Amino acid sequence: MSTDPLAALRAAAPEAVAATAAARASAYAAAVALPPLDTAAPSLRRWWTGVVAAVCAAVLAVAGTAVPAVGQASPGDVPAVGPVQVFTPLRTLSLTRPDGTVYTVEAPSTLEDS
Amino acid sequence: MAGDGRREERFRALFDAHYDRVHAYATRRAGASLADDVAATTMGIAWRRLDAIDPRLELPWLLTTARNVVSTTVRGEVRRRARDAAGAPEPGPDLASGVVERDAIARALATLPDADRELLLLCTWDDVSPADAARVLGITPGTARVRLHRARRRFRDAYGHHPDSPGTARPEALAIGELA
Repeated sequence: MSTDPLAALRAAAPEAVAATAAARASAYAAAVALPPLDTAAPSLRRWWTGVVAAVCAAVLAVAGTAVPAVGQASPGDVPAVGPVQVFTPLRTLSLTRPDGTVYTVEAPSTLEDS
Repeated sequence: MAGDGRREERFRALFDAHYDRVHAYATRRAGASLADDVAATTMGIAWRRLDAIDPRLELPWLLTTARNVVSTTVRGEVRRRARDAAGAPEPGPDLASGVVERDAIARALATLPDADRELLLLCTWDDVSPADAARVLGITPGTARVRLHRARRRFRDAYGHHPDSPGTARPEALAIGELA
């Protein structure tokens, strides 16, 4: 056996039988007889993909703007609300300590103040 | 039309430049009996998809296509032979006939994973550069270099391995359909 495995592998390459002129000519003629594949034109599959994607996008857009969701409420329903919170402005109070000094504090105003 | 003329002109140049290499590749991988069909089918696909072939990468594209055609053709051939029960197994690629090391080479090749074996044969038998072989196999050139190094090392190890050792692949594994 050879001491160089890769050289042995190289030497063992099967002889490539040259193609005959007839086979060559036949291969060429058979090839050019085929209809070229027009890769520029979008295929039917691509058209279908585009249509399905557009329909899905439209459905999602419409569904996203429907409030309340379709089928879950009638037009007369009043949306539920939580407890009412009234925010009032702060008012300044002037208070007097027992020693007679006056100081001010800020307190939320009440509904009665307004 | 002028476009058709240019198309055929380009295909003629591609055909003249690469047909022989595609045919040689097909001969080595599928055997002489299938080489004409494989090369013709490959060139037919090239004609149909000519617009999609990068002019700088024609050979890798053709070899990739030929590899796929060989794979399909050989599978069909194996099925056909299986139906013909009387058909005796035939060593498909005319691997090293008459060479003393044939069995050792066949065993060593059979121990390699398919992709590594293909890479090694592309670079050793078909004189394809590692960069082009990488394109044929759909891997990066860096990966191809690493795998080629690994494949050569494994081949050397397996080549020197005793043929009757357990786990050593039988040369019949290289019969037609296995190598492609």
